[in-house]
Amino acid sequence: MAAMRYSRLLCAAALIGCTGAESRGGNTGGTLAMSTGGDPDVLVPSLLQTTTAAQVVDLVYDRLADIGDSLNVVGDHGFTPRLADRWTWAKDSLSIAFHLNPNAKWHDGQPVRSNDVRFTIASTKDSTLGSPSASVITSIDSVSTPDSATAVYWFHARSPQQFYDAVYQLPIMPEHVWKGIAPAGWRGSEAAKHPIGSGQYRFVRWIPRAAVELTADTANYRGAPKLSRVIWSIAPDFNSALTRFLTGETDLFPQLRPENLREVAKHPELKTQSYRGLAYVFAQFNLRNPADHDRPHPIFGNRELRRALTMATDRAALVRSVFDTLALPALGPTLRVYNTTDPNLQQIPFDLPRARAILDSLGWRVTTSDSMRTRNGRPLRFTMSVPNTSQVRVQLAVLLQEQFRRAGVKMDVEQLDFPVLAEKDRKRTFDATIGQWNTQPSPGAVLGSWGLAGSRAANGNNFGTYENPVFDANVDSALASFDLAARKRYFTTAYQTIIQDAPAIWIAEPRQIVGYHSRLQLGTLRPDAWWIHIPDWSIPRDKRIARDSVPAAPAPAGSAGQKAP
Amino acid sequence: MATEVARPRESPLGITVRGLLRQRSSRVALILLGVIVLIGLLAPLLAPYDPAAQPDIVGLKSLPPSLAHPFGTDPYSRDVLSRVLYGARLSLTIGILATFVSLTVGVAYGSVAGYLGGVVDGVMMRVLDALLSIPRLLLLLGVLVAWPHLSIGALILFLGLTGWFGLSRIVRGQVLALKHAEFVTAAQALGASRRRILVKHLLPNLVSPIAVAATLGVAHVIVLEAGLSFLGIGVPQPLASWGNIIQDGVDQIATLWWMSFFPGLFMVLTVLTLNILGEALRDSYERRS
Amino acid sequence: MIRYIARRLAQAAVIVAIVATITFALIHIAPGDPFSAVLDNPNVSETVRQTLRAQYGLDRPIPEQFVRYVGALAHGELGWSFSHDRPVLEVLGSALPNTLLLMVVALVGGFALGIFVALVQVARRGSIADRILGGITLLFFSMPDFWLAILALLALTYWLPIFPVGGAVDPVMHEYMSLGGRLLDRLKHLALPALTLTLLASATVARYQRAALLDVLPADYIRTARLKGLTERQILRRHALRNALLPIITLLGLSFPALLTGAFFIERIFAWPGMGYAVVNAISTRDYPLVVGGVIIGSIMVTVGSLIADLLYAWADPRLRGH
Repeated sequence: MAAMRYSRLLCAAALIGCTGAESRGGNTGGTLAMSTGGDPDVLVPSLLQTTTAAQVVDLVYDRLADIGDSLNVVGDHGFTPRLADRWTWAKDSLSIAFHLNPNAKWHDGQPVRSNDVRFTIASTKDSTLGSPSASVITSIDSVSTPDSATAVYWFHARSPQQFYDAVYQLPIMPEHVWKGIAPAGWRGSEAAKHPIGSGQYRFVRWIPRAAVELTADTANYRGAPKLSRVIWSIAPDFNSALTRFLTGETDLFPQLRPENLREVAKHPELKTQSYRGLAYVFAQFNLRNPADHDRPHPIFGNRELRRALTMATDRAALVRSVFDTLALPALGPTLRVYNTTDPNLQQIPFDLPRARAILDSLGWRVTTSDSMRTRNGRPLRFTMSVPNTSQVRVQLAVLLQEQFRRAGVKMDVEQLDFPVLAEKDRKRTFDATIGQWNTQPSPGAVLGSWGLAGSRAANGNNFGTYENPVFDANVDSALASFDLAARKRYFTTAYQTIIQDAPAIWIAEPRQIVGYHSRLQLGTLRPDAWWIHIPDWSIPRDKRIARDSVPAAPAPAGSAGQKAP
Repeated sequence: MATEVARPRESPLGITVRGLLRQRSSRVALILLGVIVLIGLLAPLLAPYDPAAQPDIVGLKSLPPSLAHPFGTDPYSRDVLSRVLYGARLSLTIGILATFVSLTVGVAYGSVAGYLGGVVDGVMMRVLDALLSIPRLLLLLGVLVAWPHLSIGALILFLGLTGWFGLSRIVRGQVLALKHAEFVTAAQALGASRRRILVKHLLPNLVSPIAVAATLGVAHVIVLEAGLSFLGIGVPQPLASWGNIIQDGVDQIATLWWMSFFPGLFMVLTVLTLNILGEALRDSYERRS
Repeated sequence: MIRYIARRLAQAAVIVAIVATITFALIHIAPGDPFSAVLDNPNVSETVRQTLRAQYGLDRPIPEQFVRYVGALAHGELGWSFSHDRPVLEVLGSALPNTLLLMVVALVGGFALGIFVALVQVARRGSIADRILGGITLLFFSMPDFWLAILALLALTYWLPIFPVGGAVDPVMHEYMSLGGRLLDRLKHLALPALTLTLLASATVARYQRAALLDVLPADYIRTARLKGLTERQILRRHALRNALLPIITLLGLSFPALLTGAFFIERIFAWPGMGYAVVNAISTRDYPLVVGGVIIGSIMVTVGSLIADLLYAWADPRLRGH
C-alpha cells in the first residue's frame, strides 16, 4: 500500500509523465551519447555477460521492483515499485504475491501479464538455455499465476534475502516473443537482435561494433524519460573511445583512468564524478588440469604453491601502479561496502624470501641457466590469459609476469579478445586469468563465483573450480541468518577459509570515474549500476547542443496512449 | 624476355658497389645504416637500463622524455630508450635472418625452374603466380592465426618463406638466358662441367639482383614484423621490437606519444637507408646492363 | 585479342584454384582442428553445426574433404564466422564495399598526386625542387602504413580535432541527418583514412613514374621533338607522358597487393568497417574461417586487379595489339 501512495506522489510531482502523451516543455528532450569500448554480447537478460549489454537491458526491460540506492538486500526495505505496483507477503513468508501495474505494456503494445513473470523464471531455470543466472535463483521454487495481474513467487524456505533473489536478478521478459523459440537458439535469434521490453526506453537499432540506439518510450506506464535518445558509440579500443569523449563526439565515458584526468581537466566543458563500484579484480588459478578436468592442475592443484605465488606478489605496489589512488587492495572475493565484511581480514603477507623457500621445499628448484624453476625436468611455467580490451588487466598481467620472474616462475601473457577469453573461462581451458567480478549488492553472490554450485554447473562462473565445502557451508549459514552479527561471523570464517586456500590472488577494489559533459544533469551513481537512473537524467533547454535536437521516435501503432493511474 | 648475359670482365659486384659509392646519398645512407647496425650489435653495452626491468611500477611509469629517460618510460616503468635499442637488435636480426631464408629459397626455386624448364617450369611458375597474388600480409595472417604461440625462430621462418617470390623470377630468367647462351653451349661442348658454368657465369650475374633483393627485403621484413607485432601476433612480451613498443602505447596514443614516435622514427630511418641503398644498387646494376 | 583475354582468364582461374589449395593446406596443417572452435562452442546452433559437417565432410578422409571444399568455394561458400554468427561471405561481402571505396579513392588520388609530383620533378630535374620532392616521396615510401596512420590520428583528430575519431559514420547523428548531411558525414569520416592511404600510394607512384619518365626522355623521338622546337612542357605532355602511360598501367596492377595491405592497417587504426577491419578483429577472436575467407577474397581481388591491368595494357600498347 505504501508503494501505491508513493507512485501517486511521484505522478503528482511530475505531471507530464503521468499523462502518457508526448512530453513537451520542461527538461525533456536531448541525447545522451556514451563512449564505450565494448560491444554487447547478447541483449537477452538471462544470457548477457557484458556490462554494455547489462546497460542496454536495464533501460529496455523492467524488474518487478527496484532495489533503491541504499542497496539493502534483507527483506524488502527500500525497494520501489516497477512492474509490480504492490506486493504482499504470505504469513509464513514462503510466498510473495506481486500485483502487476495494469498500465504496464510491452513495447509492441501487448500488456504485461503474470504469464510473462512465470515464463521468465521458468525459462531461466531451464538447463537447455544455459543461463548464468540460474544458480542465483535457486531459492525460488516456482511462480504461479492465480490471475493475469498477479504473480506469486514460491520459495523453498524462508530466507533473509528471498525478496532480493526474487526481484533483483532478472528483468521480466515477454512470453509471447520468446515462447516459440527453443532456448538453445535464443542467442542467435531475431528476437535477440530486436529486444522488446517494458522499460522507459525502446530499442531502435544495434549495428555490431558500431552503435546501439534507444529512444524514449513516451507512452511508458511510468512516464516518459527525460532524455529522448540514448546511444552507445562503440569504439575499437580504449583510446578511440576516450578521444571521442574528449573531442565532443560523445557526452559520457564511464571508464576514465587516473592518468586521463589530466586530459579531461584541459576541457572546461567536461566534468568527472567518482563513485564506489561493486567490482573487485583478481588473478585466478585453474585448479583443474585444463586438458583433463578430472585431474588437478599440475601446478595450481597444490595449495602451498598457490600460497607461495601469493606471497611473491607485492599487491600494494600493483594496485598503486595500475590504479594510483583510485583503488584499495582487495581483501578477498568481497567488498568493504558490504556491512558483513570485516576490514581486518587476515591476508597472506608479501614475503618474497619465504615464497622462494616454499617453492624450494616443494621441489621446484632454480636451474642455473635462466634462473627459472624446474621439478623433474618440468619447468614452473604457465600462461596468464587476459582480455585485450581491458588495459588494466593487461597491465596487471605484465606486472605480475615480472614479479613472478623474481621468484623464478615463468609466466607467459596471452592477450585474447573478450569472447575468446569468455569461452576459455567457460570451458575451463585456461591456466590462469585476470578477472574482474562486478558483483551484486548481495554478498551471497560470491557462491556463484567461488562455490560448489558454480563449479559443478556447466555454465557456472566458478571457472577455477575452487571447491571447499567449509566455504560454502559458512556462506550458506550467513545467508540464512537474520541476525547481522551472526552473518558477519559466518562470512568472516568463509572469507578466511578462501583467503588461506589462495585459489586466486586478490588484487584490487577499484573506484570508478565517470567523465561527462557538463550540460548533463546526472542523478546518483549507484554502485551496482551507475546507469540505472539514466531515465531521470536531463539536459536543461538553455544548454542544448546540435544532437539534442533529435526527438524521440514515435511509438509504433498499438502501444500509443494509456490511462493515467 | 631474353636477357643479355654479360660476359663479366671485372667483378660485377665491384662495379655496382663503386657505382653506389659515387653518389653522396648512398654514402650517407651507408654510414647511417652502419650506425644503426652498430647500435643493434652494441645494444647491451649502450642501453642504460635492462629493457625488461620494471624498476618502480608506481613512481616511474608512463613518464615523458627526460634526462634520466630520454625516450620516456612505458606503463610498466620500462625505459623506452633501452627497449628501442634492443628493438633495433631484434628487428634487424629478424630482418636479416628472414631475408636470408628468402634468398636461399628464391635462388633455389628459380634455378630449379629455369634449369628443368618445360612442363615443370610451367607448373612452378603458375604456383608462383598464385603465391604472388596473395598479399604477403594476408598469407602471414593466415599462417600465424593457425599457430598461436610462435617462437621467434618460427616467426623468422614464416617471414622468410613468404618473401622469395620476386627474386626467384629473376633467378629463373638468368638461368634460362644462360641455358640458351652461345658461349655456354660452346663451353659445354668443350667439356666444361655444369658446376664450372654455374660458378663462372651464373653466380656473378646473380650477385647484383641478390644484393638488391637482400637490401629491399630486409626493409620489407622490418616493416612487416613491426606491423605483425602491432597487431599482437608478432614478437611476444616481454621482448622488445619496434612494433611491439608501439603496440604497448597504442591504447593511450595521445598521452604516451613517445611510445609511438621514437620506435617509428628508428624504423623509418632504417627503412629509408635500406631503400636508398637498394635502389642505388639496382640503378647501377641496370645501368651496367 | 580475344584469345589473349581468354588465355588470361584461364590463367586467373588456375591461380584462384591454387590459392584455394594453399588455404586448404593451411587449414589442415595447422595444429588443432580449426573447426573445433565452432563445433565446441555451445552458442552455435545445431543447424549450423550440421551444415558445416555436411558441407565440409569433416569426418571424411582428406582428399574427399578437399573436393567438398573446392565445391563449396565454387558456390561462393566460405564457411561460417562464429564471431559474427553469420556466413563468412555475408560478413566480408558487407565489409568489402567499404574497403573498395577506400582503395579506389586512394588509387585515383594516389595516381593523380603521384603523376603530378613526378611531372614536376622531371620538368625541373636536378634542381632543388626535384631533390626535395624526391626526399619527401622517399620518406613516405619508407614509412610503415600503420605508423603514418597513427601519426595522422594523433595529429588530426586529437591535437587538432579536425576529423572525427574513426568509424564510417557518426553513430549519434547519422540516421537523423538530411541527405546532404549524411553525405558530408561520410566524407568527413572517409577523409583521413583515404588521405593517409593516398599519401602512401602517391609516394610509390611518384618514384616509379619519375624513373619511367626519365627512361623515356632520352629517346630518339623525343630528341626529334626537341629539335623541332617544342617546349619542354609540350614534349612532356604530348610524347613522354603517353609513352610512360604503359608503366602506369603496369604499376596499377602491381599496386593492388600493397594497397590492400595498407588498407588493412589503416582500417584497423581508423575503425573503418571494411574487410581489413573484419579480418584483424577475426585474428583476436581466432575466427579462423573468417581469416581464411579474407585471404581468399583478398587474392581474388589482387588477381582481378592484375587481370584488368593486363587487359588495359594489351589494349593500350599498339605493339601487343597486333598479336
